[in-house]
Amino acid sequence: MTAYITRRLLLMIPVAFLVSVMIFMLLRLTPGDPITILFGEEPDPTVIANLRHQYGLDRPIPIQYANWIGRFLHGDMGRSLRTRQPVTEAILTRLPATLELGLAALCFSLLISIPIGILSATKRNSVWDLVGTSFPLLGVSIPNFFSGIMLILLFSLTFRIFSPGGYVPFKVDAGQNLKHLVLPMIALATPSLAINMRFMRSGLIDALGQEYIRVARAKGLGERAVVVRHALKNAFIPFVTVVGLQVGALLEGAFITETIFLWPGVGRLAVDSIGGRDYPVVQGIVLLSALSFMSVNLIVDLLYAFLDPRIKYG
Amino acid sequence: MTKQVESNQMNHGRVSRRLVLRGVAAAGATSALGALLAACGSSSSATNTPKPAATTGAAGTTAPAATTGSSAPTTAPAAGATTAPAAGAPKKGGKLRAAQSNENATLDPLTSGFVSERQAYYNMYDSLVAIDTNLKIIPSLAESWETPDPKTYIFHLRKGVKFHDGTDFNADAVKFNLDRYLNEKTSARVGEISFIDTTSVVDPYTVKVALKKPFAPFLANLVDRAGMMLSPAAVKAGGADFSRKPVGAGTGAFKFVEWVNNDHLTLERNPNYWKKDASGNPLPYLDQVIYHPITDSTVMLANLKTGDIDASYYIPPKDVAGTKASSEIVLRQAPGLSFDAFEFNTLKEPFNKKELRQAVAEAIDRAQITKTVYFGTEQVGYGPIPPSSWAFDPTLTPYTGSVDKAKAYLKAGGKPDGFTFEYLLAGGNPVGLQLLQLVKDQLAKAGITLNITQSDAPKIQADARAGNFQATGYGWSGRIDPDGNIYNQLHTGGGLADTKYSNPQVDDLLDKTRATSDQAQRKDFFQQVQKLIVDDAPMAWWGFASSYLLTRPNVQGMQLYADYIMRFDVAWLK
Repeated sequence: MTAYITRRLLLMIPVAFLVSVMIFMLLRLTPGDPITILFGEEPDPTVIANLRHQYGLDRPIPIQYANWIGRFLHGDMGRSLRTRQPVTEAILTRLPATLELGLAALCFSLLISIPIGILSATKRNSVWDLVGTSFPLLGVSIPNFFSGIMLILLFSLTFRIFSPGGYVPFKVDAGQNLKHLVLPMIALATPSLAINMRFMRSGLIDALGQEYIRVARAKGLGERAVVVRHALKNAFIPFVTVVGLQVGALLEGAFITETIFLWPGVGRLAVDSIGGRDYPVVQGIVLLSALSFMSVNLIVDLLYAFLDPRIKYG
Repeated sequence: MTKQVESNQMNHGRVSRRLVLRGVAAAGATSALGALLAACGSSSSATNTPKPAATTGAAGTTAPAATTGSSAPTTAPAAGATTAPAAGAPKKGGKLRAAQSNENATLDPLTSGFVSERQAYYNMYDSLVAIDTNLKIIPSLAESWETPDPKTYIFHLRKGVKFHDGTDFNADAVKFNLDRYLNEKTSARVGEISFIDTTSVVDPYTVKVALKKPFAPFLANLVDRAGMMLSPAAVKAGGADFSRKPVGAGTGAFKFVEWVNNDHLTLERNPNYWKKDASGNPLPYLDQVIYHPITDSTVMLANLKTGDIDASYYIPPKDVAGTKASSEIVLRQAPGLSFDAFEFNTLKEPFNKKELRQAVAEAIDRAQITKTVYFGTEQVGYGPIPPSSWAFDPTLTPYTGSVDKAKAYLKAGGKPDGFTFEYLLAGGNPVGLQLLQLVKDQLAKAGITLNITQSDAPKIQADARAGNFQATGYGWSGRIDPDGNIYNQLHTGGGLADTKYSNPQVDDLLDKTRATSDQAQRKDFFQQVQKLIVDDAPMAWWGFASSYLLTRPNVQGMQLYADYIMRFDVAWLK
């Protein structure tokens, strides 16, 4: 097990390296110069040249990369080209808001999708099944920039229950924090909720069709025990895989959701930084996202072994 | 939303207010919401919203003129003359939340490149001179000034003014700031004050600025960031972090408290502010001003409707009518400083031929654009100088949108059967696309084929700079002095001259507008230049946008300026 984890961790290195090279190159291949954008209106060529030199943007790209990755390995991600804020600080100050939104959306998604998925699988052709099969179609079809704006329209402008956007830190005012959290959480969770529901349902239906379930039933076990103790754990294997992958989707969804709901998180920082070609910030966010995505996938793989003792890593 | 999409809101790559007004939507869906919002707006009781100053107003007039007006530039008007309290005595206290179209990149005027950054600056920092609602230059930190000769300005400074950090504002501070804007390697202000030769301290409250040559827009340029006075001590103490934490740096109505990027910028009352209101009470009234960057103007409007935001200065054109009818928002509208145009590459086929540029300029039906795409919120225009300016020329209407005339131009240009060209359009902007589709139709009637190529705004900006284009859009937020709308765009080698246009006669006249400070003479030169450039048509100007001020009904005392900056020193909450 330890050997396996070590190997997996070591494998993350070449992947992270590839990601870092790709994002570095892609950003520089994207047209638009960060300094020119910064001086949007009346860019003075001398000032731009000065700044490009000061920020090292006039050096050959391989050298720029080497400088950046060298500092990155020492824990220094550089400073934002736009605000001169250290990238580490910029990301860390926004991380709590993003984690809060992401975790809330994940919990919300799990709390709804698991029970409905189970009901839908066990009571097939019932109302629950209808919900469990039709909602996913709707959920994955509506992009969250649209559902987000519809939520604002309905709950902020028409019913005036929730604020259309903004963020209050939990430490400052917990009630306000949660009130501002509701709409972005729903908008962010909807697509993953839909997929989870679907996977829970099909996973459980698959498991219920297995022979050991027939054995369990033949033993005279109650339906509840059959589902909860025997089928569910196996049904969770595809489900957990999907949820793991969704951490990535949540990050990606946060880009849009955070922007619509004025949520000051990493996603919004990324969107702003991409628009401004703020290379160090985008590189930092992408690389950290890639690392966290890989970590989550490792955790998911390890969870398999817990869910199905037949799966062994060695 | 966010910088990228915001940039997409212009036809072109420049970050100007135009893009903000030009219909803000991340995607088509947002427009759908906008329509719904507008519907909400009009259905909710249409009542006594103050009528905005008509955009069709006479040349040169803007916004409600509530200043004492008569203040000649060299005499100090009664302090706080710009306040015009509505009914009732102003109330002290309260927190005002203001929207901002774009997140700031810096709080240091030295490096500021975004128009929207000025919103907070004007409330934190005072400049040597200011403007009133008629764009007339009035004293601010300089109480008066003299110009013994066109190359010398002597400023007499206001005494007893302190920076937020407690240090004195004096001649040394003025010299420090002007030198800094001029000499710092990363200064974005150089272009505005490069005509300064030396700044010298005459006595603690007198500063002499010598110019290299006469430069008429000098005072107007000092109104904005290049004239903003920061505490030398605070700048030094701030060091590398100054642009993010300008603690104690200004003399303005509000002091910097904190800035959390992408979330809020908090300013609080400066208890020692030098300005007083008309009845001698200290300004400002508000305890706090909090800016929230909301790039999507549809989302901004929703926040304004629910009262999560109290004041704003941008709105999608399609929502203007609905908002005027709404009792939840007070909307003021007046001619702004900006212009809208299409620009041509005068070095490349087909637009290296003047007649072909003229054919396009002629074939555009400007009235139809402003009416259908901008819902009447824009005014038809033919040149770069807007109706809010003293140099505006209402008689300048050289193009009529006539298909026959356009065909005559085509014939003269050797393309009687028309021609085809490529137009670069920033993607993701529904209003921009609507505009271009309409123009495409209009040009087709004269036999000209416009092909739209959508691309990313920064890429278009880079291409335009490098001359890799045939035609694209050009929106300019505008400047107080007409010089800022015309010189760098049209003078040979000007910093914003994407068109690579060059006409010695134009250059000569433009130089003359800078050499004299006599306004009547300058106006004459500007009008001559405009006739020439509009005829040469390196750009096809088509409209002037409005300036807006949107507030919740309980926000009192504020006035709309053509530069659309919300000045909160006189604002109070009912």
